Amino acid sequence: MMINLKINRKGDERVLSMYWFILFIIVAVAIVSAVLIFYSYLLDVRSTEAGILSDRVADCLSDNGILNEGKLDEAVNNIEGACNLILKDESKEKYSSMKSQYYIKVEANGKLIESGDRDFLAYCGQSSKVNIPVCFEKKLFVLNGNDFVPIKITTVVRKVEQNAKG
Amino acid sequence: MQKDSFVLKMNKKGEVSETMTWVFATIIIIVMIFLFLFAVNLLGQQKNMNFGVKSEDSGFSTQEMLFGILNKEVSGKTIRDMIVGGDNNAIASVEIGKILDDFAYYDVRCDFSGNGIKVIRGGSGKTVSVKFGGKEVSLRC
Repeated sequence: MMINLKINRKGDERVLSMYWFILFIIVAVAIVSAVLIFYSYLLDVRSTEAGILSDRVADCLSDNGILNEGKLDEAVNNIEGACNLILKDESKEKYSSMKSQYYIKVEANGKLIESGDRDFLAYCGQSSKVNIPVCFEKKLFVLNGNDFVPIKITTVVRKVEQNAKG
Repeated sequence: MQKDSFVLKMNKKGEVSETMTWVFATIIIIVMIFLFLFAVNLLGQQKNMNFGVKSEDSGFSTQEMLFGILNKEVSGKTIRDMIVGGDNNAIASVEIGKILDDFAYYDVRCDFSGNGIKVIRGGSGKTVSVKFGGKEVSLRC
């Protein structure tokens, strides 16, 4: 009777060791999967980038709350040059060959400034923000002479491949 | 002999009960792992770079508008000088009210406060303050 019981106990331990080993593998796989899932989603910085871009444009066209008309006239022809903006992603070779990833529209003092791909405007106001360009709109008032004029800045950043999971 | 078989029966019952406990424990662990992976998936989708500050609230445009208000001239005197002087506070308050009404017409709502002047037009967002001549004024848009 004693011998039988000993054999049974050894078997129990082996089964339990196997069970613990399988459970350990399941938990380990789950942790590794969780890390992979979390980091496989790209960090989406487009809304922040669009906000910073509109701030840069506003900073370029206004100086201490006063409209910089010289810069505004210059920007009508070439906003990138006038405001020292580099709207080309050269972080990777495959991105540098892509067509424009930005769109900037400025309405100020009766003048309209546009730069980049106008087609992105069609995506503004859409509820999905994952695989489509992200829009940002800013309105401010600056002094022109002694009167306030509104400046409306719309910036759109596409960069889907760099920021959003496909 | 009878006693021995009784002991064996008791042992088998115990083994079945223990196995069932571990089967349920395993099921619970696996369900928890799936919930964990589901939560991680949801968290991953929420990844963005706001750092708790909305890009809409950068405050730059509010700052430019505050400077604009302070630089506006009324009867040959800037609103900034009126506030520093203090004696023209009533005129400054009326003029700031008119300016903020114009802003609100274009759906830019701002609140101005400082040195006894308070003009409320339903501003929400980041407050920008500026100090000059010992006075502090702020605008929230």
